[in-house]
Amino acid sequence: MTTFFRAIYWGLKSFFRHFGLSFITILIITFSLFSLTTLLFLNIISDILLKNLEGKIDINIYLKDNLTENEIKDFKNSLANEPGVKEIIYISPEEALERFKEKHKKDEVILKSLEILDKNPLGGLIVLRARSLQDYSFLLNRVSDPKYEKFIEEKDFQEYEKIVLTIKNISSKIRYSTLLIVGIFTLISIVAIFNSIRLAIYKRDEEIKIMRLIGATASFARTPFIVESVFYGLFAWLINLLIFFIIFKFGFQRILNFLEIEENLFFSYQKEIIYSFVGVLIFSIFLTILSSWLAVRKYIKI
Amino acid sequence: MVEQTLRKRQVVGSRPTTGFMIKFVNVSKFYPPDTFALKDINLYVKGGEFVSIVGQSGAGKTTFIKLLIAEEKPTSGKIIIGDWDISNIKPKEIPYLRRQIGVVFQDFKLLKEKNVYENVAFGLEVIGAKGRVIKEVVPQVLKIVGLEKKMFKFPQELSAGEAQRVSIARALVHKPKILAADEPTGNVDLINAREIIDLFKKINELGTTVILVTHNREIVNYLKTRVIILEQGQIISDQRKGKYLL
Repeated sequence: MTTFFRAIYWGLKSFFRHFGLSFITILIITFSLFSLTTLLFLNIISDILLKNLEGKIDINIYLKDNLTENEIKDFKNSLANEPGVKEIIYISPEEALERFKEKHKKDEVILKSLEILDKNPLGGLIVLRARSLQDYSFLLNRVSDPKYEKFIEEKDFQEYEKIVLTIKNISSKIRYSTLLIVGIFTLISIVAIFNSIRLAIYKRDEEIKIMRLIGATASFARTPFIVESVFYGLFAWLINLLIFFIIFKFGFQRILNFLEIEENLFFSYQKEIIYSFVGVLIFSIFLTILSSWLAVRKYIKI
Repeated sequence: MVEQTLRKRQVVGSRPTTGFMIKFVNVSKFYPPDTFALKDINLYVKGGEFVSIVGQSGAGKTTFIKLLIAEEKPTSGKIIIGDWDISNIKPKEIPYLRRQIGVVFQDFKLLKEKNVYENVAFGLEVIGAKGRVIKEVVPQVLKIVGLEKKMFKFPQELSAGEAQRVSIARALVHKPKILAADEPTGNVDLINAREIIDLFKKINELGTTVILVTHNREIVNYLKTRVIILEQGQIISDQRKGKYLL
């Protein structure tokens, strides 16, 4: 245990002694962590966007105005038995008329025209929601079945599906590009950490030679360098955290406004946000340990 | 600390011995393409002995030390320290061997950014000694080498003789069974050289086996202990109370 704590102490001392030398390496690791955090946040944002849009999709089925209540009930029941249906909402002609009036309350011409008519011109409306995005095309096909023709005046399916697919497509492309950037920065980070540790080993070459001669084990000689590199990772992570804190504080509201996402909705993903930062920290430590381990294995032989 | 060191020794299979401390049996060291640094060396050193190994440059003296601390492996033959055959020692066992052998070099090998106390403490730190033990042992060892009043000086503020005594203190601090010195007086004047040799004698009297590699005739003749003369990698003389004859 004494040896372990001593190795940590020496690693920490060496980190602060060579801070100037390590700074560029820390910046490179920060780029890698920043791109990774961005990738994780993109996942959260695209998830929110898709859920938002999926919630807005529905199929409106306008019913013929000569249907009896029983016929409407039968039609509703048979639709409810169709696979993939999540929710059916029936809006009666009276309710539809009320909604119509409410919607056009500032348009006197429409309101007067309604008064002239002695009966409700609107039929009932059935709003159909599917379990998943893929179920919509299936349901559209189903309601086009000739057996339903006698009930349906008109169908209205806004093409949200295409929008969702486009968003999915774009976000997957952005994700792949970010992943590529993460990969490139990770590789550069590995090389940078490897080189920094190599330089630190050269600077302490005499000390390592003496250590060897007076009975230090290989792990004792190597551990301080690995500890030093872990501090690179920790510093880079703290800088990354600070950058995101600044973004959250000053620019994030604008991004959310632009994407039409409510701030509360975004922060309801608090658990995922915390996990993202913890994940990035674990990645950073793993990256630094791996790179420095490669360097010490190569350059410190006992 | 000593108990801890002994425990480590037992882990790797060695026990303190009252018989021969060092055995070289038909040891040769060959460097390609055509150099024999040592050839068929048979050498037995008892525990507590003081042995001077002398010879001209290229005689194989430094190779002998390198083989002793397993910095090199013999091309053929057996090297036994205590009853531990180190001829084919595994790399992970080497540190535990080196904790049994204190080594002193001609160029002192001190760390410039550490003061005297820290340089000596370094010898204990790397083997995992506790801070409390270090605080207790280092001043004692510095007293033995006569540097207790200079423990906060840096190597560049010391004379060559003093620097060599720091190096000896560091080699002694973990109480090794063997002290091997490779030309320890090479960089110091005669008066300081005598003081260093007197220190080795004192250490030897306390029970440590001392192997002194030198080409300093006056020192060897002053010591009047066992002298082994090497020439072109072979032992040409081994005398109990010998003199440097070359």
